[in-house]
Amino acid sequence: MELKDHVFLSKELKDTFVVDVHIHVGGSTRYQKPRNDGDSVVYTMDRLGIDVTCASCSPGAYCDWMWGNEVCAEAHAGHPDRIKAYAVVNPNYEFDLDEYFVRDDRFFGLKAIPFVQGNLPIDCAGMQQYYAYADKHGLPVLFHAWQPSEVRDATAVARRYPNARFIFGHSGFTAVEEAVEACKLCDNVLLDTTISDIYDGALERIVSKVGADRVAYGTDLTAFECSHILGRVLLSRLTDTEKEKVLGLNAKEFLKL
Amino acid sequence: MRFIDARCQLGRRCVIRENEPVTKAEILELMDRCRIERAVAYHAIAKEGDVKAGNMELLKDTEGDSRFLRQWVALPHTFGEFMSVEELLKGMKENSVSSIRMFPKTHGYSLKPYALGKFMDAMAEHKIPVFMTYNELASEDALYAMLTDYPKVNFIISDVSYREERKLFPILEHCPNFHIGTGNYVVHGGVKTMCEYFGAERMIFDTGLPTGSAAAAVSLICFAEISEEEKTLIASGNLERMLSEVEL
Repeated sequence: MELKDHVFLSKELKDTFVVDVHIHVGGSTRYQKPRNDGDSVVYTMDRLGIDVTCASCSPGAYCDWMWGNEVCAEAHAGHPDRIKAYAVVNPNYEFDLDEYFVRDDRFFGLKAIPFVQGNLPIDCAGMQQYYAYADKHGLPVLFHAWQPSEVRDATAVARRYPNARFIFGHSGFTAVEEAVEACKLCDNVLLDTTISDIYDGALERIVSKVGADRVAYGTDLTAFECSHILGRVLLSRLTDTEKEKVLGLNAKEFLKL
Repeated sequence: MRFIDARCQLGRRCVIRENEPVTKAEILELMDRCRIERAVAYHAIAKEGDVKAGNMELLKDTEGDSRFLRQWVALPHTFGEFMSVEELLKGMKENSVSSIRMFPKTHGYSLKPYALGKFMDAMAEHKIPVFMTYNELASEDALYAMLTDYPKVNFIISDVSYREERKLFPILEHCPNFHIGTGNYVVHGGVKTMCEYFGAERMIFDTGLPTGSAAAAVSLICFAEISEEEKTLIASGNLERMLSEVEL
């Protein structure tokens, strides 16, 4: 059975290790965001055969980030082997990350999205404390890296903090040239597949430019579905070996799962 | 499961992205790969350049090709610019065109009865479904007004994003002639929710090819937590029924 057949048979991926490096828990004031708690996430994971997801609390990025991190930690606590928790960081505050990574072991990485926290750039002064901490401890950092300028800033950060590991969310579809340059310059960068709507052929395009080792499955679940992005990978023109790398093997190695 | 795509565009577009399908052969390759049997198709020139010329190009591009179900783009008949309603219906019958697509925002006209009343009366009388994307409507209130102004016309509104449920669910509740194209309706568990609240009859499978993703659209339905009967209705049954009811 080829990987694509799972779509047509509506069968979960039992024999393939699947990691979603980019999901969210928590609701939203801006739009209806159903089934957003940890139990609902795991229900969807089981239906599709996703082994591990890496979550941040999306409303927490827009409001009280420490409250949001508790929401995310709760989802992780309910399913510690299935949901890994990114701590959202906020450049407007000074914060000792030992709180999350030494006195508390609920988090495994950071989520950085400073543009929603006062329209601040990724490489702003307030974020350096967090990048330095990630660098010191070899933590993964998930960037919202949509705009070309964000990807250029993220690349500068990745070069400055080589011991941290950075996932450039969205960028392989939205800022292709800059994402390719980031992969050329930085070994500590992985791209993801997260985007709600993109044409068939876009995944093949980015894989052809950076290699199948540099792209990981990500979806933005529960902000929206994940099955259609799974299908974009499964029904793409990538080989099954390449699909397996994108779906889970790259993330397993990069995130040390 | 048989998939029939309710939203496909043929023809050379002005703007394309790297590795994006353009030719009919590339679209057919994707349809084959994603096991889509047929597609309702309109022409890019009818959207981007000249409606009447684009509709004629569609006839040429689909001549003798059973994979595509012809769809014409329509304009209001304003002082001779476009075919009269009678000419439109005659042309549709002669050329096996079974549905209409409209671009009110892009093409710059009103959906109100003073501008479109006669046209929509004909769509209702001949049971011709009318397709448009959500971004062609000014707002959810404009959608509601259109659906209630023309309650006997079946509308298929596509490219509905994951952020619209608060706006659209009350309209679905009140307007039975409102159907959603599933292509970009990627709410977490959204297809299941729609089936539970409004029934599978309100959803029509579409892809938005070649700028939308057939792979994503097919997977969204295949992996949805609904019955096989509901999947069949969404994938092809609802559209086939609607098109079979057209009287020309």
